[in-house]
Amino acid sequence: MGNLIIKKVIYSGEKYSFESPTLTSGINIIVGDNGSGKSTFSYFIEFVLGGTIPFFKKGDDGDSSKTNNSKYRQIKDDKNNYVQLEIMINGCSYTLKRYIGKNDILLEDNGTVQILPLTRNVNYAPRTFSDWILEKLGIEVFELYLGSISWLIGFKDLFRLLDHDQDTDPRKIFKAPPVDNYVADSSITRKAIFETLVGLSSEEYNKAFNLLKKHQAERTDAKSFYDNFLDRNASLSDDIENENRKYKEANEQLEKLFISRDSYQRDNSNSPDKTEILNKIQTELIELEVKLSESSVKKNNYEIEKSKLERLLINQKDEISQIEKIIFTHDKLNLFALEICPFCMGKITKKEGVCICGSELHSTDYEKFVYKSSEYKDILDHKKKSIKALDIAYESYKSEVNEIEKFILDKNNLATSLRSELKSMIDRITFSGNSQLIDRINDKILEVKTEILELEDIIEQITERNRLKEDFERKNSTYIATDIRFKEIQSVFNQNNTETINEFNAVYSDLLSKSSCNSNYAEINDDYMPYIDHGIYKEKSTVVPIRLMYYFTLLSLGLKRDTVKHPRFLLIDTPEEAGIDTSNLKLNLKLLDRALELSKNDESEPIKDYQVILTTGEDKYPDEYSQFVKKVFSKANNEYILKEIE
Amino acid sequence: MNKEFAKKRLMFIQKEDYNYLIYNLLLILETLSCNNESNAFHDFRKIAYLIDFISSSKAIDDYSQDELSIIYSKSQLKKKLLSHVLVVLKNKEYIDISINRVHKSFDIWLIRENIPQNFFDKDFFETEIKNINCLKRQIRGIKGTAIKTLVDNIFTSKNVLTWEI
Repeated sequence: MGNLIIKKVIYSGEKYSFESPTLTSGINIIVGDNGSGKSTFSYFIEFVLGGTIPFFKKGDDGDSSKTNNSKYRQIKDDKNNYVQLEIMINGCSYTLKRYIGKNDILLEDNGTVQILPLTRNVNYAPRTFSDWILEKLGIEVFELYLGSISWLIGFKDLFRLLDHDQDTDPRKIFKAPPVDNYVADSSITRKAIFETLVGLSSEEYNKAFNLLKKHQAERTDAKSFYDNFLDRNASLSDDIENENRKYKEANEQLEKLFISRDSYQRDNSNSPDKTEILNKIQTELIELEVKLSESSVKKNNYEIEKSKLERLLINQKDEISQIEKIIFTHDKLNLFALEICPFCMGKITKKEGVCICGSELHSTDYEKFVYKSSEYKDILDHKKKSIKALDIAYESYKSEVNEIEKFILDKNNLATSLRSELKSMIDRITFSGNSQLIDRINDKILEVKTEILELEDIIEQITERNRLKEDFERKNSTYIATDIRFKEIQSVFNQNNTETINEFNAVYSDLLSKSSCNSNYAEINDDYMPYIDHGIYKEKSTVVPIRLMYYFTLLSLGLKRDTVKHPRFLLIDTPEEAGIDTSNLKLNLKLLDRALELSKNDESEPIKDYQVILTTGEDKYPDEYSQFVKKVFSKANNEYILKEIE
Repeated sequence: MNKEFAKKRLMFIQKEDYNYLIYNLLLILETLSCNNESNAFHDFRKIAYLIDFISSSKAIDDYSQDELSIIYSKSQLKKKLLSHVLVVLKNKEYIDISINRVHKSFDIWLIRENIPQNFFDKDFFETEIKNINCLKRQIRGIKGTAIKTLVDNIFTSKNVLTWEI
């Protein structure tokens, strides 16, 4: 559906540069003799489209057989060098640029530049260059499975049928993958490439196929679980109703046994008349405890008051004794007799209403008094009176505390005696029945309990089996439904594919019969590989047309059928291997016209846009095609692809 | 007269009474044998801190931190009152005073012969004498020590906030 056209190829580095003439849709021929750089031109295109070109790898001289070529040496030794392609996809222009040795493409789309990596990394680079170009070309990508690995077909893979290169053995048809591993060149990959290009794969078909695989796996799992379970529990009963009934009966029996044991034990104990007394004692005991705790709180409060009073009393007594000593001192020393000034020892001749200092002041307003003996005695009397009151209060607290203490002691004794009574009473209540009978009942209870456990297990297993069975049946029916749907899709798909393949065979057969191969009949087998004249040996040089016509047929189909995804682009690099004659080569190349002709659904229909880029040697192209020559490299005239920058 | 005396009685602050201070002071000097200048009691202000402990019947270790704080702050007032008392006692020649230039204060000592006979009655002042002897054991060099050391010993070490004037 999509259409890829390369407009211009540019190489730029610090030492060398190259700019191709503008390429057009249709046929473009680049002519050059050996070593002049036609292959380099092809490699430039492949490189920018994401290909791996071992010759361009910097600092890798391991493979000397391929890298000793001086023109690749120039590229490798150049610095800051890149290849740029100006391309058109479905009429829209883009510029692609890739630096030598780098693994990402700078894409310029209408002035905006984005960097697209070539290798996928789920975390850092979920979208690759291949995703971009395939999306633009309208090619759906699907996942491939081989054993435990899965991968996506990329543009690089599809390019294997768009690039008719000269490095590949022509018998292999498909261009050799850059990395030789069994995945990259597996038949499943090759088939996928062919199917993708020719449109043999459809999204609907792949989805249905994947769904079928999924449901099949689920069904297989469920079946193996179910079978496994049946193997392990072969003798399991089918009748869940019956087991449930048994379970219920056993539970009822257990209940009855418990009741009969309890009632027997109760009937044979001599306690009932004592219960009342026990209750009474207990109540009494609780009341007593409450009273005790109340009393002890009260006692504590009294104790606190008492100790406060005691301290006050001691202070007061101290003060009284101090006053007595004051009086004693006063009497003995008589220092403040007030007849003599204590400070100057002169006789006091004091006026009324005047202080010692001379200022007018009544003696009662003094800040500091000097007392006479009699006054001291009065103060002492006052103190003594107050101490009496304190004494009385203290004594009354003391007796109160004593009383409470006595009360607590009494009640404590009572509580102790009640407790011992209670204990002896409980001890006296004993079992007086037949203990053998009880033992028998207990044994029976144990038996029934075991039975219940077994029944529970059986019921659980039956439930599990039923669940597994149901699960399997559900998944089985899902699978059958999916299978029917898939078969419907498959038949439509196959029919479409058969048509396409038949068409391919018809075109291929026609082209090959006119080519130097000169075959009668050609078709492709199940692996999409050519099968010529029912396997009759052909001379070695026929491998060139067999491969070339294969590529022409694909291009032709791409132009003819809308279901074919081929981007209508073909790069042919020096198709002159295997010792083919120049005349035969010209004949074969000329068949491109026939391929284009065959792509028409009717005579008047114009040929859609396509592009073929052919690099070939001097005179090694059909004479009619000389008008398509766009560029000539010539070693003899020192016209190499790369120009040295001066 | 009665009303006047009532006021006087109410104004009576026992712990700040002159006679109260005097007998305690004299007892300290007597019990610590400060009888002459060479045995003088250095820095009389220390007495202000000691008096409360001497006159009480309580052992010095039984005081709470709060009680100690109160005693400490009230002692500051006693220093002034004691200086009055010193003048009176000096005038009566019961004690003698010398200036202490190191502590910037006065050293004092008893003039034993001028004090009335039978004033130091061992039975009557039994508690006080016992307390003074107790303090003497607890505070090393109580006579000569600096006021700061004494305060640290009694108050600061018991987590009482102190300041020195």
